[in-house]
Amino acid sequence: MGAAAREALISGLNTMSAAVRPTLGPAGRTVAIAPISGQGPPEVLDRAATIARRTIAIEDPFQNMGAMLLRHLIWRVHEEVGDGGATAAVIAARLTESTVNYAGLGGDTLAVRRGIQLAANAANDRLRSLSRPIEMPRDIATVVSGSLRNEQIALMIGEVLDAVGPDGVITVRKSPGVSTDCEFVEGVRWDGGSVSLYLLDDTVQTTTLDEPLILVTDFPLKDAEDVLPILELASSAGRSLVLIAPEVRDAALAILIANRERGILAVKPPEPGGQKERAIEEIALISGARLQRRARNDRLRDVKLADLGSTRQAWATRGLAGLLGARGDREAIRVRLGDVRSELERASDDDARDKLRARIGRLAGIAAIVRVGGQTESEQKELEQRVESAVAAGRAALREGVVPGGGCALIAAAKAVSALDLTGDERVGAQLLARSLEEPLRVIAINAGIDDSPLVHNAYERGPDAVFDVLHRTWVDPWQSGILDATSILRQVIELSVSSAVTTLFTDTLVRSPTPANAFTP
Amino acid sequence: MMSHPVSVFGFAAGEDMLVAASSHGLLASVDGGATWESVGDVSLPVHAVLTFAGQTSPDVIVTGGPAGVQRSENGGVCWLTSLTGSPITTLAGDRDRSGAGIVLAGTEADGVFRSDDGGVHWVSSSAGLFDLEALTIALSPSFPIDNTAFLGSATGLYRSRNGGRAWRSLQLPGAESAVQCLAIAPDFRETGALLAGTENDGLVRSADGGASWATVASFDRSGVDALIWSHVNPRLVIAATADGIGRSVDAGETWTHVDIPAPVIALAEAVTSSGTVVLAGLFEGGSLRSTDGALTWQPVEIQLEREQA
Repeated sequence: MGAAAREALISGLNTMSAAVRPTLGPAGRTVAIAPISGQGPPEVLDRAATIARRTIAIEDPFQNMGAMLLRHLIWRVHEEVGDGGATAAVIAARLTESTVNYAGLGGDTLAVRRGIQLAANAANDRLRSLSRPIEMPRDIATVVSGSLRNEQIALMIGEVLDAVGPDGVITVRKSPGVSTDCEFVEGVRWDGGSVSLYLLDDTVQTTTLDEPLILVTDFPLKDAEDVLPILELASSAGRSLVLIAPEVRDAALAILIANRERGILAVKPPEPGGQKERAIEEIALISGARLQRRARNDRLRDVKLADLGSTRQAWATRGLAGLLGARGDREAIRVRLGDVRSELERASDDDARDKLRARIGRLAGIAAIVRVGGQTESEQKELEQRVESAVAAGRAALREGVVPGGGCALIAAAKAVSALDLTGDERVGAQLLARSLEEPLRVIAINAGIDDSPLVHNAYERGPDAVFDVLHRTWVDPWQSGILDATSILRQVIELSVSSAVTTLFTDTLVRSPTPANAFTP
Repeated sequence: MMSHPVSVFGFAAGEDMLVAASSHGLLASVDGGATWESVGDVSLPVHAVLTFAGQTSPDVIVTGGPAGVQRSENGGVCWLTSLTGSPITTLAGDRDRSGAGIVLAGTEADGVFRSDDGGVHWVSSSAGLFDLEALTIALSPSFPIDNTAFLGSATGLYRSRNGGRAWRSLQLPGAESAVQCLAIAPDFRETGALLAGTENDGLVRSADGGASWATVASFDRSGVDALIWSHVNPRLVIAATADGIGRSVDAGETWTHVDIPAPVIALAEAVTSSGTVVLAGLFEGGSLRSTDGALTWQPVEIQLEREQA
């Protein structure tokens, strides 16, 4: 309790921080971690999130609490913004240590907390004022190249993000080969596939229909009278037919199979859970069909030709279905796209964001697949995670812009914090955050074998129009050199670090279980 | 010589000749567009044409029409079909690379196909297109560097920044309208300037590489069928409308009108041994030629069959 608790917490925080500090900056180094079990070789890692995830415990149980707090912060930063874990770790560790020590000396913790929060707002405001939008694929590549450490893949990520947009669908998968490449998916595609193998071409297990009519319904088709009127409608129009329904079975399915030579596909709609209703509405919108709704008591025998959608081509396999050149109302699709993008901005978890992006991909008619290769499985896995982080960082950069990188934007933010007109312990809190915001530049310098104090002093003097190119040991223009950071990542890093530090500020007692489990999940 | 109501859909400049896509097949001129002769079969219309400097011949010719894409490596003597399916409406290619090169082919109903070997092999490249009816494609003048292309379709405008592998829809002012023609400024890389001609909403202009657009208020026609932005005189822009030619000498800010007796559906600028010429393709009216930057026009002679001795 008391001072002992605070000391243990800080020690644990610093231990975890020390594990990830070496990776920060372009001259960052690697960390070797022994496998949790077995006799395999150590993993050599250079990403803070992965290092944190592998560090499941330190020996002292109370220090371990501090370590796990920081581990949780690093992972949270990774999940929310994809990058910036090491930056968050060094800021949070420094801020926590300095504020907890000050509290231990009798400081007014409430006032200190107020000061920190006011300072965090000022820092974020300064970052926003420095932020510039980016648009070109090469600019995106520049932002993500630092974390990717592979220029070719960085250019690929820039190309992909430019093509699908910051909210588009990008699926990162393992490649069977050693090289990394990307593919753009044409039209609308979704997991679902044909409701029956008997509706697919026997030899290739795929069916493609040209210029089909499309029926979209949200109720199951099971009786003959559910499908016969639609079949007759399509037949009299001389067109093939696609039925998109949650379920097709019994007599309805039998009739479709019997008539498959006419050109018939029956496929499941996208999204088996969660946003299923919205997704099926959107398929109807995309194809120009009037959705047949159970809630409206729509009857399929009343369906007219104008209620059916159309597309240049429809296809299905066992597990996938797609439309190419669907003929929905473009303006209505554009409006819906805007609505879904707004929903994405408000989404609070990864699962919801993934589902919303899938909907955006269908509405926009484009998606990208990045297939990651590697010489070994572990190399591939590490690169896959790095690519995912780069995609997240690229999205962040496109959404909110970029600021001078290399820790220099944070120095500008620290300067703005120091200029705040505060007094007493509020001022102390603000100053503690300002000093913590210098920490990333200090660590970057130390990792490169450069004296950190003169560098920080220089950064204050020069302002945000110059950043230090650690590799070439010279000050450069950030906008010319491309040494940039995504604004939203730095803002989130500040917010989460402050949140973590402030939580710890009021911790006075540590309680542990006798045999704590190893924290496999951060 | 026999005369026919020939429609001329497009032009391309080869090393030693000009070629034209027409309702009566491919035409060629060796005198800077003053006279034209048939190349090959006059019964098969050609909707679009492109030329490359080939590795073994001065002119690789790629044509597009109802039968798909044909390719000749010997100036039109022999032809090979390299793509079939939906009729080809437009072709655009990167002429800066000899031999191989990026070619984009727009189709009536199947979107865009892309070749990276000068039109020999093709892959579908329609990711991001809402509708698959491509009307016009234009490449950035610095395409080898910026990989930027624009596509006009029946329902709007798209841009690609990865050499045509994927497309993003661009928002134009006004209601949805077909984009029928495009003209990109020679200094596009510095200025981001380009123009798009629509079916119903006149002329629209961008100064930021296509990110945003504004209607050109001084252009008083509703439909634009063809556009060119002169590379010889970067202030000169020429537009074709149903009743004639629009001409701007201030990069599209203001316009004057020249009456032409037949609808102009194609425009091209070519630098020949006798100077710069502007060519206009007419609908069922052959072709016109201007040697003074589209101020005045002269009819050209089109010979579809050789005279019988």
